Amino acid sequence: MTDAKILDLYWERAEQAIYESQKAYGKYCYKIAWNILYSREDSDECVNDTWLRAWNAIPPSRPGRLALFLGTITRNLSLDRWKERRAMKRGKGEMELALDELAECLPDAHNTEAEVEAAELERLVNDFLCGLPERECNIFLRRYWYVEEYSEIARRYGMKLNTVKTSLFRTRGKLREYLEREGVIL
Amino acid sequence: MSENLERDLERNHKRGHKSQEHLDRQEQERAMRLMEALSGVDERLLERCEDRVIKHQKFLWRSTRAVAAVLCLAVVGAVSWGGYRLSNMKMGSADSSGGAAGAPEAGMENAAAPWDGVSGDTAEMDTPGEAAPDGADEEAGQREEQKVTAAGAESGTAADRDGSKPQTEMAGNGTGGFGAQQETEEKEQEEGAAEENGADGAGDSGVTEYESCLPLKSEKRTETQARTEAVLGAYVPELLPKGYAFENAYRVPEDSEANLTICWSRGMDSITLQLTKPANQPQTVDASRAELYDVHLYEIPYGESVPEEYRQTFNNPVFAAEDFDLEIVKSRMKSYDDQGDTDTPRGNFGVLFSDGVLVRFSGRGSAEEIWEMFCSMGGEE
Repeated sequence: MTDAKILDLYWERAEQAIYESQKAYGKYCYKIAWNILYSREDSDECVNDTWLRAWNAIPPSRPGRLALFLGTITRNLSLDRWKERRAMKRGKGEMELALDELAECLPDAHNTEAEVEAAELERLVNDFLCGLPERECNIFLRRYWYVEEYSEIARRYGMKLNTVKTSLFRTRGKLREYLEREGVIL
Repeated sequence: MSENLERDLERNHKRGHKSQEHLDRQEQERAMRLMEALSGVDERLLERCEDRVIKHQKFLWRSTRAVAAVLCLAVVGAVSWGGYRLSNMKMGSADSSGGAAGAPEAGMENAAAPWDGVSGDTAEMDTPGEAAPDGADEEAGQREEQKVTAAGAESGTAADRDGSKPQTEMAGNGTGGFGAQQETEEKEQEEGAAEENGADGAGDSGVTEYESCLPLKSEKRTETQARTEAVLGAYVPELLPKGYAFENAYRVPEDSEANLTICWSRGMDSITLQLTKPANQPQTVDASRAELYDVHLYEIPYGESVPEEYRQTFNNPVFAAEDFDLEIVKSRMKSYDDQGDTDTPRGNFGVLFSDGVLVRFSGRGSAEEIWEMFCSMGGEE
């Protein structure tokens, strides 16, 4: 089924939309979640939550590319899940949690003027990526958007593993310089 | 003292470890913010990184297909060439000793060709290992060659083209003249007759083998001779679609029914007329029922679209001459969109004339041209 038809189903509020989304993009979303979480159970949950989020978002949304729309939802959910999991591992006692809560009240140690909002950061990252050569940009996104392994990226683009590593190393360096130049201090 | 020192070291170590952990956590949090910022990356960039994969895979798929296609072509080419060489080798022994037979044929193919009528002494074949022309066997060789070419024409034109035409092209580039054409044609006929009478001449196992595959012998005819054939000759059309040139004609004397097959060609296009006077006349098609024969009513593959009960008639309809008109010709001629082929409309059908002569047409040309061709037949009158 084409994206347009699946979107029509969402707009008609037909539950088949979820079935069709799962059929068409289930594996794609699962892989994104798996790369981040490395847990079958968590990945399944994230993918299931993806359909729910999509159901709530469409309408009014009508994404141009459904795959990327769903993939982005899965990715965000997976990142949230990853943070939760890390917090749970770390929080062996209430004390640490309490400290974390209190830490929110403390003023940031960094220069608040230099701090950028998430949206601004997104914009800057986008600009940076747009300025990159296509190959470097692709490799960077495969690594940090899809969280793919080096070897997988190398195989995907028919490159040597070391070339991928070198490319990523250089791009990270460029991003650091770029963000510093833009006055971004994370 | 040492206990205090140890305690201090341990405390420092724990503190360092904790601060390191704290640092790592902070770094991870910062990295996480970047990760999250990447969620808002431009879709076009993401698409591009997907597209790149598709392109890469497509390229691989395309190149694999291209390599496979080239390999297939190479195999088909090798097999065809091998077959061609084999047939030439078999015929070569006859040709090498009897080039004269090939030359008259050249004369028939194209009257204007300057090498027509060549005596054939200079005939050459590129088949390796073949025997040099032997003067003593020349006459016998001529007969053998004639036998092969005549036999090759038995089942249509394909075998003839495979067998005799290449010889025509390769046959002597000597100094023959156009004026000898008629002579050579006659000579050819005489030789054909001699062969019919069983004058096999010097034996050649290759020729014998080749001949044994063909059940009926046929006699070649020139266009002029075809026109003078009793009864059927009258049905050889006077007019042909523009550009068509006579290719060959033959009759099968062993057949109990009067028969004559004649073929014209124009580049890749050809027209073949099979003229017979069958003892049992075929059933003619009801011209008012276009569904029985109109190729435009059905989709390709016809095997799926034409109802089974119509299929036999549809594949080879025979029309009564009184029903036959331009509309019927139009209904049977269709241009097919075949890659590598000409777009000239093609079709086949038969016309049964009142005197019992059946003309089966198979070939290419516009419906109007084919209709005019049929109109130029003088048979029934």
